[in-house]
Amino acid sequence: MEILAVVIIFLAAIYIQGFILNFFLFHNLEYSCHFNVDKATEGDNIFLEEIIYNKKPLPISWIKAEIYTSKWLDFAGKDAVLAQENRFVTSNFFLKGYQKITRRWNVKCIKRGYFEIDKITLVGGDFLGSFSDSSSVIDVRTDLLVYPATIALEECFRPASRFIGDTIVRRWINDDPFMFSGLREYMPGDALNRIHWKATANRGKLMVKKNDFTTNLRTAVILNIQSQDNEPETVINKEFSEFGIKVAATIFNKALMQGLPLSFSTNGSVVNEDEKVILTKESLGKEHLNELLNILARLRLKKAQDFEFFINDIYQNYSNTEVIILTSYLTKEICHTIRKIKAGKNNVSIMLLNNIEKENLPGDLDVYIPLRKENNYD
Amino acid sequence: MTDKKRETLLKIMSIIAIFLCVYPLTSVVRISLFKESKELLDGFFYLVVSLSTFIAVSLIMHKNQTRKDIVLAYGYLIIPIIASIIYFFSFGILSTIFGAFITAILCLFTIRVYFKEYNYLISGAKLYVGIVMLLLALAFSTYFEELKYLKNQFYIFTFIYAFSLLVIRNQSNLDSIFSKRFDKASGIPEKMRSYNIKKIIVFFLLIVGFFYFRDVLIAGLQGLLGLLGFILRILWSFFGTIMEKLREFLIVEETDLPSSPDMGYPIDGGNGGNPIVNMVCNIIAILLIAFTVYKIATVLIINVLIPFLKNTYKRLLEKIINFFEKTEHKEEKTHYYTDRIERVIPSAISKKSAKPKEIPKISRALKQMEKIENPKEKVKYLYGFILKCMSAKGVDIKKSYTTEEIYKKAKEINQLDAPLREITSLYDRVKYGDKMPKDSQVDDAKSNTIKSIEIINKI
Repeated sequence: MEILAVVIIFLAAIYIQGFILNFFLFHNLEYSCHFNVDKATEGDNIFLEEIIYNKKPLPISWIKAEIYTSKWLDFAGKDAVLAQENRFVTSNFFLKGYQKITRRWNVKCIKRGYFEIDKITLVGGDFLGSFSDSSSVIDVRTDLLVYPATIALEECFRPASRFIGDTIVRRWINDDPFMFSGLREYMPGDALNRIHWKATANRGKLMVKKNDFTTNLRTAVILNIQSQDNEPETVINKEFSEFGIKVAATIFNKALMQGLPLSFSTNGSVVNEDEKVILTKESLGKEHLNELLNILARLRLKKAQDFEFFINDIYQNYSNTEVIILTSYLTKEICHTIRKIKAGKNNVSIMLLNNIEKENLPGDLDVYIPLRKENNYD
Repeated sequence: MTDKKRETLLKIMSIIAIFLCVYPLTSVVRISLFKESKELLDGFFYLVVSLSTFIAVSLIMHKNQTRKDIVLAYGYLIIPIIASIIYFFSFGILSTIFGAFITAILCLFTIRVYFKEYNYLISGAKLYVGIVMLLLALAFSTYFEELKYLKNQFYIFTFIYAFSLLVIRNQSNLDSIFSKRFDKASGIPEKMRSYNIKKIIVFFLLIVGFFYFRDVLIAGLQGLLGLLGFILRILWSFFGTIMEKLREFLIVEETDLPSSPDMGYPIDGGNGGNPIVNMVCNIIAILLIAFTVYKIATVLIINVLIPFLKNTYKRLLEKIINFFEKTEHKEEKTHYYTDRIERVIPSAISKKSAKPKEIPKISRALKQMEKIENPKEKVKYLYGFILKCMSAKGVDIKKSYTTEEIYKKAKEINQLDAPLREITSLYDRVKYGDKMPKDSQVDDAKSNTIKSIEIINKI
């Protein structure tokens, strides 16, 4: 009888501990998960906060939350599993009775985008692995909008007309006239009436006024989401389009600093909305900038309309405007439409996102080409 | 403890476990064959040989093997030889051959376990074979007079084996869940293993306690069953008496009826022989009993007894927890995350501050803040000050609340959203992100604090 008692007691104890721990595993257990901010900028470090609270006296030997999110939110390092565009992280806990754990993951936003964690499943079990159970799907619904980073335009572009040596570029894109205007040294080709004589006398060398070029007060940015002509719906060279988005974000920021009214158009569409092209109204101020950055953050790398048709549809919308076209390629038709924009009293600058051979560049248009390809596309 | 050390320890534990389940039965066989009674000496021989073989194998298979390792390995291989010689002089040649055979089997398992997982020896069929061997040894030691002196020893072996089994099972379970999955989970939290082992020890002690106090428990259960039986007997006799009285009353009423020539059925003089009356009485009795049982089951047990037991258990448990544990707050940092661990024990949940607190003065707080040199501490101080003021104004802020939870609470206060959002964000970066705030950020925090306090004071 004693031997039987030993066997029965051990088996019963193992079964009972498994049954009780499993039965009450999710009873009085609270779990939530959210980002500490709802908006961030590419490169920012933020937190993903998980709160788990065991509101019962029974302990929890192990429990894990399975978090699926985008691979562009970098956290958990080597412990994360990356698959295509996804990052899978399991967050493991053990809890004593009435214990609450707040876990803050250090998250680095490595790319712009709209990221969400909507559902999480908890899996837990007993001490001996005899039983395990998973919770019903927990609706956590937390989202994060990562705005694109800005870049130093002067370091990323040069006018296509200048291939050798350093010359001062007249265009605002490189000169950054929104920010600063002052004096510079005389350079061959500068008109004599631009010489600042007092400064020349003061410094002992010829100084010229660094004049602001005349720019239109209205600015329009047109972004071609396609990376090449005759591209299927999804963008092939994603790095070009991403670079274009960063350039657009930089221009938006500069325009905000100068208080210039700005509009944005693209043949791409945004996530969580219908697949249609984006045409924003012209406006100014921080709210408008946030709205535009919001669009950039949520842009899909997928065309909603072919750029040739898109630009042809919208070219009449502009007059007396500084139009900046961001595109990875140029075709005859596109150039033709751009000429029509230019003809409508607009100042047009084309910022190429990809290097094109010099022979293929239109000589009559202001084209800027990227400087160092490798760095720009990081 | 490093993973390698842990795994080696668990392997040694599983070698001891396999020894514990092999030794008792072989000991029974050896005693029956050779009529020897030198307790534990042969067991000591098996164990020494197995463990020294394991250590020698580990040294021989060492990745960056040095001359020292080789010398040590041979040194460990000498131990089995010495042990065999001692065994031979103690037991004689036949017993030594028998012992060598058993030791060879154990050594084979020992070498296998080096190349396999630590739970190799106590998983699958080997586990069941081990249990059966132990139970057989226990049975022999219980039912054979000449082996009875081994009984206690075998029980101790059984319990140690069971304990090893629980620990290894628990650790292998954690490994299979967190480390050895194809999709690789994010590591095991640092203290999860030790926590689990502690709980396994408690669990094991409970089982042992339960085993040794089973007689008390059985007596208790018998007493409880006796009490229930007694209550039922009383109930039965009580209803029996009522029914008897009812039946007598009905029969008396029938005999009192005026007899008419049409009603010619015989009256038996009140001795209860009327079958119809009997049947009616029985049906009423059954219905009454069924109703009473139903009422007891629903009203008394479900509505009264179970909630009473539940509340008593909860209160008792809370008292025990509050007695042994204190509300704790600690932080644990890993490379990837920071854990804030809090123990919100029941007394802390229900405790409410009785006295209203004084609202601290902002000017004094700002002066105090200026004295602090570290910008990080300045931000923390300002944030803490806002929380103090909110708490003083009656906003329920528990120690267990996170910054996000506090922010959500603060959102309910008109206009407090914006300034608190900024200072909360800065506080999070400073506290958990280990960022050193710039002077301008400290100034912003200061102005946000002033704004927040102004708003809070308006509540």
